[in-house]
Amino acid sequence: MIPVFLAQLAKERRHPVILIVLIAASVAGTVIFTGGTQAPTEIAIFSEGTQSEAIEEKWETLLNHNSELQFVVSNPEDARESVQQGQADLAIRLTETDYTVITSSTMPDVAVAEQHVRSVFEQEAVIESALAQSVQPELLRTEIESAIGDPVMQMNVSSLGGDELSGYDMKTQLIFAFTLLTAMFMIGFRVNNILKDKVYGLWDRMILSPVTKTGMYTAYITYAFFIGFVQILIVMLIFRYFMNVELGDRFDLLLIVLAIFTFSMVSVATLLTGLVKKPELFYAIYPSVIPMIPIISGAYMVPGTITNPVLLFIGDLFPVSHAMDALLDIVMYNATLQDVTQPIMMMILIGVISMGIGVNLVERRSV
Amino acid sequence: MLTFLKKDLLLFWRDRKEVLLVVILPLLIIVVLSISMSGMFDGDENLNVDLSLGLVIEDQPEEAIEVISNQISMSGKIPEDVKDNLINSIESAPPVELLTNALMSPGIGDWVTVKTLTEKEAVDSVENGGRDAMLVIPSGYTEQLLSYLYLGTENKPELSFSAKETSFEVDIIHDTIEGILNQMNLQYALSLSGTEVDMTQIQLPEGSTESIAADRDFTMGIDQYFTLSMGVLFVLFMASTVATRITLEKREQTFNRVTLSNAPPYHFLFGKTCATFILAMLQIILIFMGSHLILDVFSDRTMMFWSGLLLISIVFSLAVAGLAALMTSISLRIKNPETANGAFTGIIMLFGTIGGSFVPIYVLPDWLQKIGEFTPNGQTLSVLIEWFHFEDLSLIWLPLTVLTVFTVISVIISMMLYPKRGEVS
Repeated sequence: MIPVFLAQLAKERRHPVILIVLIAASVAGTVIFTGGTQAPTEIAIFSEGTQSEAIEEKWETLLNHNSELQFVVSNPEDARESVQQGQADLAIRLTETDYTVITSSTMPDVAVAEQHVRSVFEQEAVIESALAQSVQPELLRTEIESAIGDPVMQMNVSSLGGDELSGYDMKTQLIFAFTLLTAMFMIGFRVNNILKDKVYGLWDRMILSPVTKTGMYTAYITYAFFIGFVQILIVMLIFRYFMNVELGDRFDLLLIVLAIFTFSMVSVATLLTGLVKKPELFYAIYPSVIPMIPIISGAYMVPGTITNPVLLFIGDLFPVSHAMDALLDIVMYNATLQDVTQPIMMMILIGVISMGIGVNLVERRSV
Repeated sequence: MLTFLKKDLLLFWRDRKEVLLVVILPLLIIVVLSISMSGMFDGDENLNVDLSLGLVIEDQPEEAIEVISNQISMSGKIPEDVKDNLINSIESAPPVELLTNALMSPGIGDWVTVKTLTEKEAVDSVENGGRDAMLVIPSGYTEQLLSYLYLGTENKPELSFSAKETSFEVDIIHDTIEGILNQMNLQYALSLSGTEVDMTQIQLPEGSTESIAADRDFTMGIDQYFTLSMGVLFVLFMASTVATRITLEKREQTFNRVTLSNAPPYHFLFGKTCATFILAMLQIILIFMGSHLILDVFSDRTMMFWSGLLLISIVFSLAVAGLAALMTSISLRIKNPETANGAFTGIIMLFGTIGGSFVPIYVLPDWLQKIGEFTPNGQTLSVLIEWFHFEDLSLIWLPLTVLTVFTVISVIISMMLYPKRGEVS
């Protein structure tokens, strides 16, 4: 078993390109995407006709006040063009007291942005009408604004235990999502080595050698596990020590969960390998299936976005959703081993079942 | 020449089950994603979610109002003539009742179920996930609030909102309550500054929505977006599917035998390119027709729209075929098949990501969006979106020409890279 394992390691050492590319991809992907999503969504605002500048200036300040969205003054043609070509979902045309949402889609974020714009305009309408009755509008405006700035009715937000309910940290979630995604690729490609060595005749030569069948499978599977885990470990260490990302106090527990995920994913990859005949077919199917799993599991979205029971069920069939649950609980809510037992058990269950079926299929399939 | 095309199609036929899976899979994913995502938002763009909020009222508003009313009439600071008005307005609109009424009003009640509970019940139900969040109105809230407002005491009471952990649902509930509070605060701000505003007299903004599409029916929903973007993405995958098969033909020495035969070398490349084009066309047609039949994404569109869709599909399939040709030549030159396959998968994933096929393109940083516009799939996606909205040929011919040029260039490069006799690895 050990020589088979070492032989694969030697292959990896000779062509380390893929390992390096995938490690780079998980770090770069996370940096690019979090850079993109952390920055507030920009929404173009513009006004047509006379006094457009004054109107734009007035609403730009009001709209950007206390908002997670960023409203940017833009010229009408550019704004319309980017909506037209699908680069932006909406733009807003302003008039003195009213607005028009210019959009081409019914995407959820349009409704979110419109709600904010509407509330700003309504508040302004109320204030304006109050000012109209006043003899000293300037003074009254500052008075009202300061009263709004120090609201009477306030709400204190906390978690059940009384701690601060932290704003959701999408960055940490994306770090894990991308790390797991690239690890799935690596694991898949390495499990595929079984098929590849079969078609090249290597497998047959091993069967003739004193190596046992169990030893052969164990070697391939432990190697896939080993290399997948090494990749995850390197990425995690890069994030923790070079990029100083806060990964919680329980790094050990994190690694346990990641190791179990790796095992579980190796099994799923074995199952998929068992379903195809040739290594090339694996290359055709695997990369189109894998990127969809995190999407369906909701790994790229804020928890709770996906509520459809069918989709949740499909997501639960793959280890990604369970791993994400456990990892986020550990990093964000300081979960202990007991708290994450359930996702861990689910991953082990998925792992054991698909490994059982997978190895059987691989063994029966003749090339 | 056609023999080579036949050979490639036969090779695919040999693995028909797997090829069928690759062709059908995108359709399945589009249907699943559209149904689940659009399930969240019904036709009127309203949130179609079921949220629940536990409301804990420990406050005794009636008693508090009585106490405050008494204090106001005793107070020496407030002018006598205002007192009656003040007491009246407090009694007619007690703050806690306004808040609970607003929470249970039909507009909000449709998607947030509010139930009044004791604190213990509320904590339990939030803890075990039965409810999304809870709002506590602490005891003495009305009294403190009113005396802060009218009697000038220092203590400002606070409502307390708690949830187990942050999530999409909790955010919605939180924002809803915040919205109600903002409105109430605005009213208090106005009344503190001594202004009376008759809400019915105010001209509120109308806030119209203008669709940029030629026709209002052509606004794009999430299912249509998925159909177009996933369709483009999966057809793009076809390029690497074909290219990775070169490994197979090298291993089975098909390629060596072809080289030994008298066939002109480019015929091999021709076969690959044409086979890719045919499969890509087949797949894109299946995706568009399939999602139209299942999800009705292109309902009520003219013949003109369909022919445009066909034209775009042809041009895009050609571009994918060009890409496949390029990859074929490269993979004939690279010794280690693993490296080639890995690299192709990587390139396709990169194209898919920056071309906006996985995520809407505006999520990406600006500079990446600019690069993404030059990928064949990014180009095609934006052409498809424009065609979907406008059905205007003048808008799409330029990008389509660019795509065609891309195809021609890739084919030329692939012919240049195609190994000469003796160079085959």
